[in-house]
Amino acid sequence: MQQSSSKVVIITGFTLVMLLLGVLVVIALHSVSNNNNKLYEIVENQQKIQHVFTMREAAINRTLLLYKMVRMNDPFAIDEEYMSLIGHASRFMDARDGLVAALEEGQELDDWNATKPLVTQGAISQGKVVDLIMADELAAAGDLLSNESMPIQDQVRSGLSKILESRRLVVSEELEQARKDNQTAYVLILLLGIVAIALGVSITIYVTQHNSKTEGAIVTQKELAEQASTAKTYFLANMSHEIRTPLTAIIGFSESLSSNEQSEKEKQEATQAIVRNSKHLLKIINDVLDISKIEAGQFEIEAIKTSPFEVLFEIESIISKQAKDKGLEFNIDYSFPLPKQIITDPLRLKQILINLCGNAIKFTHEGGVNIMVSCDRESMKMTFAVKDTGIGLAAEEIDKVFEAFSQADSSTTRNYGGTGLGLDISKQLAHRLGGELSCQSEPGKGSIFTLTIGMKESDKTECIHDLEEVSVLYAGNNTGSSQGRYRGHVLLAEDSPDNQQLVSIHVRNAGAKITVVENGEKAVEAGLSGDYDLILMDMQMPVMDGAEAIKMLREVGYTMPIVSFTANAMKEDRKMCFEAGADDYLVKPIDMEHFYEILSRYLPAATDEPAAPGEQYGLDDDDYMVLVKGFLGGLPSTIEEMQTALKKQDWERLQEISHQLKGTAGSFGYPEITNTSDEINKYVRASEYQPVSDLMSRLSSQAAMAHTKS
Amino acid sequence: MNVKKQVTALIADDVVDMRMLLKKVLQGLECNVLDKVADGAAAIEKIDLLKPDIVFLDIDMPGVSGLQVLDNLKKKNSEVFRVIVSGQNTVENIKEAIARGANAFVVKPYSVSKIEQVIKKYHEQLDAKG
Repeated sequence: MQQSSSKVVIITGFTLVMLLLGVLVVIALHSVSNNNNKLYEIVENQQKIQHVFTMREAAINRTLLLYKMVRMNDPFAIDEEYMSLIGHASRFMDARDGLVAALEEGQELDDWNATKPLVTQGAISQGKVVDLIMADELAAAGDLLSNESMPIQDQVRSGLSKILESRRLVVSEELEQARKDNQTAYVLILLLGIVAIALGVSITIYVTQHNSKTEGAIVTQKELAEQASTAKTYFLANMSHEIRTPLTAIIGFSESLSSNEQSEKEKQEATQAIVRNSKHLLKIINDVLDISKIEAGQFEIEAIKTSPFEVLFEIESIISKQAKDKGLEFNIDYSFPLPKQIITDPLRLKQILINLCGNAIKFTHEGGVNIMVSCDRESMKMTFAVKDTGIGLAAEEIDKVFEAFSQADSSTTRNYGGTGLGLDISKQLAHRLGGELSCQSEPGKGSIFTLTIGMKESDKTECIHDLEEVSVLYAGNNTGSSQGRYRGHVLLAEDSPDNQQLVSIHVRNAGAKITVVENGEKAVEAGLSGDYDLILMDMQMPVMDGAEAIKMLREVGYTMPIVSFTANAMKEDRKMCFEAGADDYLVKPIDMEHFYEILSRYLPAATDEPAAPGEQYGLDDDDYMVLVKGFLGGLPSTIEEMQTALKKQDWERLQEISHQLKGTAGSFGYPEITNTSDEINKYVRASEYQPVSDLMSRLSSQAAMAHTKS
Repeated sequence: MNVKKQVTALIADDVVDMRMLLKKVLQGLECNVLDKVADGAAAIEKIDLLKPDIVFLDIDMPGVSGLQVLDNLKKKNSEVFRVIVSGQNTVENIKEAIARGANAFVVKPYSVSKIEQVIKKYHEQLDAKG
């Protein structure tokens, strides 16, 4: 691209220079030939002038001689003068012939034609005077000379003078014109010459510079590629080490757990080590996945309404604990006013801030970390400056920390852990969020990492003016991850027993009830039959997978919250969850912070009063009790009818009544009757009559109990 | 969203207690129960006559079953919102009900929340249609 464009410049430039030079040559040639013509004309005119001048002189001299001769007495002297007279005549003739030969048609000829007869007439007249002199009749000659010949000669002289004058005028005009033409040509040639030279010089400069630049670029690119390749090789070696280290710990501690010689305390330590190392490994894998996704251009950024305060509260809840564990301060300073909502990708914003704060804590040994939040409404940017009092970075290290595959110093990885990918990911994410990430630092004093993001306020964005407003706004939301604060009923659909156990423990710890089913089909059945505040649905399950189950529940009118578990954090997987009808998703392995956040979002808080028994049906107690009494009143006869059917082995009737009873009993608060009826119904339908009589007696005692209870 | 007009409903169940309970629940949710019938044939007749917004159908009814009512409604391109109310909560049943045109499936015994969700779905569907 660049190469071909420079080629075009060079070709166009040279063509222009050649064209200019061609024009220059043509103008110069034209000017020279023009000058030649002018010169020729001038010379020609000059010759004519000379001829006419000679003619006039000869004519005057002849008249003067004749005048002299007429007054002479010596015949010898007259003869002598006569010779001179003939000499003048021949000079006159020569000049006249020259003039006639030089004359062309037109104006010049007209001039001469007017004078020509006078010349002839004058010559005849003079001839007569000479004849009279020769005949020694000097008096008559004198008379003829003064009366006839001299007036004619006067006319000849004035005619010649006229021609002379007009020729001189022409010559001076031509001279002036030639001078002017020469000047114009000179200026034109000078200008064009300068342009051509300038053009030529600039093309030469361009070509020289461009060549050196291209050569330079090729060299730098090659160097960069080599550097990147070296860095990647180094990274892979480092990565391999980074992966092997936690794996070694996981394998080692797991093996130690299976031996029986360990104390309880040792076992606990081993478990903790396994968890810690597994988490670290997961982090590495996530980082590498992020990097490869960013590099492959597959990283999609969402643009949704986001409360910066909610994001910061979450950061606070995560980071302040880490800071506290290390004995550091952690604060968020807000420069109000700040927008209540901005349009951005909250997940990515959180990811960057967690990375920056995590780094800040990692590299700080005393003092603290704080985030300074501000916004600039003119440039529509929001700034989060993460400041620490840590080890800091030297100037030459600052640029390097943002590069993938390199921490400022390779020993850092060993001292401080981490993958060396976080800041590269963060910087790229910052760009994708319409901002940037920069760093100021001084070794030993600490660092400030400044993140700016484009904020694209949503319409009618309200502003928050002080912290009080913030705390009022999010008081209900800032529940953190404290446990035992919820109630309600969770349905978990999950096929892996380990995960069933894990989730059950956490849900119970949170204070809620949990029911577990192992596939999607059972989840649909349970979801429709029971009253759950939240369904946690694994996406990959046997028999019926999560997506299908969610879809089916939504299809038949289930509108309560469903959160899906997915092993992949890819956007397509999330999209699939949402398309099926899930309200939210959790990524496996489950991040407990996120898990409790989900519980807090969908489960009622423990402080809320549980619903009163009658309220379940949205009826007031009286209405409900009337219905219950009606049911109970009919119950003995129903049981009796069933027993009769059993005795008569009228299975069809028994199936019918047990089905009806199953449907009604639960609705009036007798789930045990429903369950027993259901069992009877199932056995009868399957034509397995053996257990029915036992069940029948259980049912009648349950019915009797129902009566006493009421 | 525009102001919702009162939802009208028809109940079809062969058990009188069930009809009464559902009527009470629906009234509690500010629905107007136009009528209650005890079998499928009566349900078809009343749907044509009363044109309710929602019909609640039990599957096991004498004569014409709830599922057969669904078939009939499908054939007539009826716009009524069909809700199956049944104690049979197996996925096969649910799948069959959906295939035959049910818009919602409520499992007996149900809580008021289930019926409420069904009404909510009806409104959503109405909004989606515009």
